[in-house]
This record gives sequence, C-alpha cells and structure tokens, in this order.
Amino acid sequence: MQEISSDVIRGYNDTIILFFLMEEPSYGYEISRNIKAMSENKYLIKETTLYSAFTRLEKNGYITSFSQEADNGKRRTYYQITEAGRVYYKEKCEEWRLTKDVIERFISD
Amino acid sequence: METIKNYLETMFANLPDTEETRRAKSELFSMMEDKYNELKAQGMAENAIVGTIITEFGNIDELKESLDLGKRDTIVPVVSEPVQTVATIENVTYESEGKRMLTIDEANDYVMDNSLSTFIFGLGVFFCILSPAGPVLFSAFEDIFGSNAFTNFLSSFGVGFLFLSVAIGVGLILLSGTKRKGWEFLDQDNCGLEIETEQFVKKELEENNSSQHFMFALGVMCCICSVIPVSVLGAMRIKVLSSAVGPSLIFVLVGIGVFFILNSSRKVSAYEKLLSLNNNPEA
Repeated sequence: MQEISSDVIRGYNDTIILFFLMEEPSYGYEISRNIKAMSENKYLIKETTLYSAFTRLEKNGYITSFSQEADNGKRRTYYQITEAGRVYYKEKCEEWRLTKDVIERFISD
Repeated sequence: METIKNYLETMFANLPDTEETRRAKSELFSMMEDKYNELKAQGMAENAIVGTIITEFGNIDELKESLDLGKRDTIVPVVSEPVQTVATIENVTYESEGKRMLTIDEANDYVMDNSLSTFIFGLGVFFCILSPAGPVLFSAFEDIFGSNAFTNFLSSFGVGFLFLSVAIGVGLILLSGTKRKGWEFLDQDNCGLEIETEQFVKKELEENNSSQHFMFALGVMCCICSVIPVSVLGAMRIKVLSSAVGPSLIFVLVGIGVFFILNSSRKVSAYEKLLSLNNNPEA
C-alpha cells in the first residue's frame, strides 16, 4: 500500500494539529487518535513528530499548554490555541490551497 | 508497560538531562501509555501492543532537532564532551545501582503522612497554648461572685482543665512523631523521584502555594486579633465578659492562630523535601 512520505506532509503537521485545537484544547494522544480517524487510517503521526510539533508551536507562541487531571485521575498536558495560532492556521490554509492548485496542474494519470 | 518504559529510557539515554528533555520524556510516556491502554482495551496481545507502540514512536533525532539538541552535538567538538555524556547517561536513566526511586503513589503517601503529622503536632501545640484559658476563665467566677462551694468547684475545674489540656497536647505532639516513622529512608538512603513523580510533585506544589499563603495569613490574623475580644468585652462593663471570657479568648485565638501557621506549610514543605531529593546529586 502506498504510504504518505513524511517529507511531504512535514510542512503540514502543524496545520493538522491546529485544526483540532481550533475546536477545543486537547492532549497528545487524543490528537494522534483524531488524526488517524479523520484520515481514515491513512496517516499515523509518530509520537516524536507530534511532540516536536507541540514544542515548535509553543515556542512560536501559536499554542500554550496547561496541565489538567482527566476523568480517570491521570494528569495530562493539554494544548490550547492562541490568537496568533488562529491567524497562522488561516495563513497555512491559504498556502495549501495555492500549493494544491499548483501541484494539481502537474499531476496526470 | 515495563518494556515501553525501558525503550523510552534507552532512547533518551544519550540526551542531556535538562528540564526540556524530562518534559519531553514524560509527555511521550504519557502518549504511549494512553495508546497502550487503548490497545489493551481492544484486546490486543501484549507483544503486539509493544510492537505497535515502538514502530509508531518515530525518530529521536527529530525530537533532538526540535529541542535544539541536534546542532550542539555535531557542531561542538569539545574534548570534555564525552565525559559529560557519561555523566548525563547516569542521571537520565535513573537506573543507577541502589538508587531508590519514588513513584507518584509513594510521594502521595509521604505528603499525606507528613501533613497528618504536622496536623497532629499543630493540634498538640494548640492544646498546650489553650490550657491557661481554663484557670483564667473559671477562677474569675470566684472574684465576681465571692468564694462559695460552687465557685470553688469551678476554680478547681479550671486547674483540672489546665492539666488535662497540657496532657492531651503533649500526647498529640508525641503521637505526631510516630507518623513520620517509616520515611527516614528518604534521608538515609540514596533516593530520587521518577520523572513522572517529579512532574506531579511540581504541579502539586504550584497548586498548594496559594493556599499556604492564605492559611499563614489567617494564622497571623488570628494572633493579631487575639487582643480584640479583651478590649471590646472589657469595655462592656459586664464582669463575666470582661474578666473571664475576654482574657481566656486570647489563648483560644492565639492557639488557633499558631495552629494555622504551623499547618500552612504542611504540604508545601513535604513537596519541597521531595523535590530536593532530585536536586542533590548523589554524593
């Protein structure tokens, strides 16, 4: 089966994560599970990729983290999108539309 | 789960032991644990679960890059570097021979025992401070109503109260010491906190900080306010209030105040004690 190359998707991991955070704050595994479900098992994000993205996004001020206890008593780090993060997400969406439009022109069967 | 933990330890063995890498390790562990629990709930076999988690873990170099560790490794060709790496491996893995690692549950137990002990100690001190209130309150009736069988009985009751209260107080103070038994190994043995425990303790410490200040302030306020009843009731010209109830209330309020002040730091000091275990590197 054809797999997604991590080089290709790399530039859009941030966008994928922010997509979920636009809705509500979430934590690592939940996001990873949602990505899997949303992509119908076509994209499994690696743990290190996910965590690296969190660190990068946080450093850039696009997300903030806080700690909260889940129903089962486990402490988790939750991530929350910032205003700058929302703006960045919109920009990335625009960028993707353009990219997709351009690449599509060179794809043939 | 143990296999996964070891896998993660191995992955991090070559990274320096910093706040950032600890946080990364703890976060990654948390995600892997979530995944483990879900796959387990789906009825997957242990081996298959471990296999899946390790395949989906990814690449540690990617993590190094995002933590700004990758560049330093390659660019800085300092001679002393290898020595430092050896030292950090020992620190990061926490598996050094004979080092006693505390789990979250143990840390919780320690904090509970410690605060219970402080609570009992505080109660003991409260009773000791309270004890003079007995004679002060009950002997005043003799002054007010003159000496008769009933007021004499009250006076001796007051003295009895003094002794009883001191006895209870001392008993509680002695009892408080026993609650600390069983934790001496923290000072004697070489102990440390597991990474998750450390995160947990730090968070608890933060959360308890404000309540500490609040309790301390309350205690100080009680001590300061202890003179108010005497002056207010003294001005009321009702003899029972001004010479019996007022003065004895000083002891009650000071007792409560000291109790709060002693108890204010009961949790925070335990958390700080736990964190200090990791900060003193083994001698």
